[in-house]
Amino acid sequence: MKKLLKKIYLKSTNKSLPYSLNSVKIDCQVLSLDEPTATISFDDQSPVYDVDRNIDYGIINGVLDNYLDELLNKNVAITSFVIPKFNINGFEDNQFMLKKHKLWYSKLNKLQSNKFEVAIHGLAHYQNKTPFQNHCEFAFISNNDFEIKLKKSIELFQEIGFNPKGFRQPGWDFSTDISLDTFSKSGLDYIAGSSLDAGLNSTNLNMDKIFPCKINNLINMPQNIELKWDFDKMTNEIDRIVSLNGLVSIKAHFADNKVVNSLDKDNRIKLFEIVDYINDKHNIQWKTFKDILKIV
Amino acid sequence: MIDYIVLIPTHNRPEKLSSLIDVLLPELQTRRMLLCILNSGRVDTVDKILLKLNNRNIIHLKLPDNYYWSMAISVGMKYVERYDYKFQLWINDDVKLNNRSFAIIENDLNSIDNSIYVGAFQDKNNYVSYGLRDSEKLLTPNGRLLKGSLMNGNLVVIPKELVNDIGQMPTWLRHSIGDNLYGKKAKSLGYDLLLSTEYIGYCERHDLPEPWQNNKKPKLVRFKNIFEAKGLDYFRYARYLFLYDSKNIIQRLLSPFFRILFR
Repeated sequence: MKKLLKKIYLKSTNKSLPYSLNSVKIDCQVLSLDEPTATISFDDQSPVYDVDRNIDYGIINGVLDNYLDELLNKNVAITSFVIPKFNINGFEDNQFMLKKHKLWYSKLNKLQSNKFEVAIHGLAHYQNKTPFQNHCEFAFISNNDFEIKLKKSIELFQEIGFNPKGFRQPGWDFSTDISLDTFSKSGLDYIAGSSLDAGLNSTNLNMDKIFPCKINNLINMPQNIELKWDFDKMTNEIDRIVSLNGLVSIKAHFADNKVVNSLDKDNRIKLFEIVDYINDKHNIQWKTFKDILKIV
Repeated sequence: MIDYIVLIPTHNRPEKLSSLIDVLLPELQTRRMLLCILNSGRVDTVDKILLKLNNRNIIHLKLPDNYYWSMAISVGMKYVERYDYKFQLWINDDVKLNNRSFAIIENDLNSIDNSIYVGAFQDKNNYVSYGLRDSEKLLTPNGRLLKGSLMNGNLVVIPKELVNDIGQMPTWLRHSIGDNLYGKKAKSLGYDLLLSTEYIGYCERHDLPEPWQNNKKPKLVRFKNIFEAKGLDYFRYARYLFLYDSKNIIQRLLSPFFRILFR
């Protein structure tokens, strides 16, 4: 029955399943840190307002506009995974290319420092709709197509003066055909491609959840704290990671509602509280992913 | 807490938007206001116009180009739900507010409760051009707050409690009728529609016939325009009539076709 379902699924998509890295030979090495470190990463930050779903992804003067500044004032380090060409229903294809939003990216550019880094979150975050599930843009594509999209994405960032070094795939989706060597060939230094149970960890625990890993000559950054957890669960896990000299990696969506781990009103307050908790109790160093590379 | 959230739908009329913003600029400096530009046009100069405001207290929402007035207001209302505010203001991009407009509005708002406030506009001949209708007749402001039954959306002020009760602008409308419909919904819930005590600005009447009404245009063009979003938008118009204004509905639904055939 399971085989039959899989056959129907594959036939309907006519391509290989996403997520699974069973066919990829992984040479993985866990990298230790000298001292516990903390970082925050955001996905989806964009000048776009999603009309269909009524989500603000950080537009100018929107509800999240000052949030980055307020967080950075607490001396944290943030890596923001930005979509260079957000694809929203009903809009022309080029409407949301970053270069059309000078005010927005200029502000982001000013923030760039050792406490704030901009990295790549795909090209358009486009969702493939299959009869069974929705997947994002890298779920069912060949390595060639992936390479083209990644190159385009890097170009869009370079056009506006950014030089991103990291990558996180939208929706944690990777096709099995994608070679991890493509990242290093494209000039990227790291991926943040695994969560606790998704991305590179979706079918097998390929990546360590607490420490960065070296995987096929590329470094993967873990994500291990979710904003949707309650406060106690978060602090318990933070205490455990710190006791192991690990990387406390908090992840959220830079969206003001609806999506999982979003920065809605409650979560915004919760994140402040967690930052205060880490600073007060553990007083550990904060680093962006790019800077963590220098210490592993 | 924001006092006024101002929703300004605009569609490829940057020069008109620019002059409206010139009037709003001093108000922005003295009042707790947040402007929300609902731009369904494709003219890229809007960002530059907004720089006049030094990018302060202004949100620029880019919308799909087939959204027009009603859909734009609907999106704007949905977006501003996330803010704490007292009043929601709708202002059309083609109105010219006079310098006293906000003083008049604030003065009038002090004496009303549980009502939607509609601004009266005059044309160049000093006759009323837009505002509130009662029994199909446009009301002329006379120093008192007049009650009406059909509102026009050139300038409308709605307290947040009323927005919460009446709800959002329906999303099935594209361009016209949305303001009429919202007023009718408010009336059906027992809220009054009140006209401003004085004219608060200028707005020329758009009395020119719509393309489908214009007998100088080819019949095929007129027929197509009946179904276009910026024409009669026939099916949405029919839905509106069924739901809110069913008097003589058959006659009103058939008359555009007879008009094209015989006039």
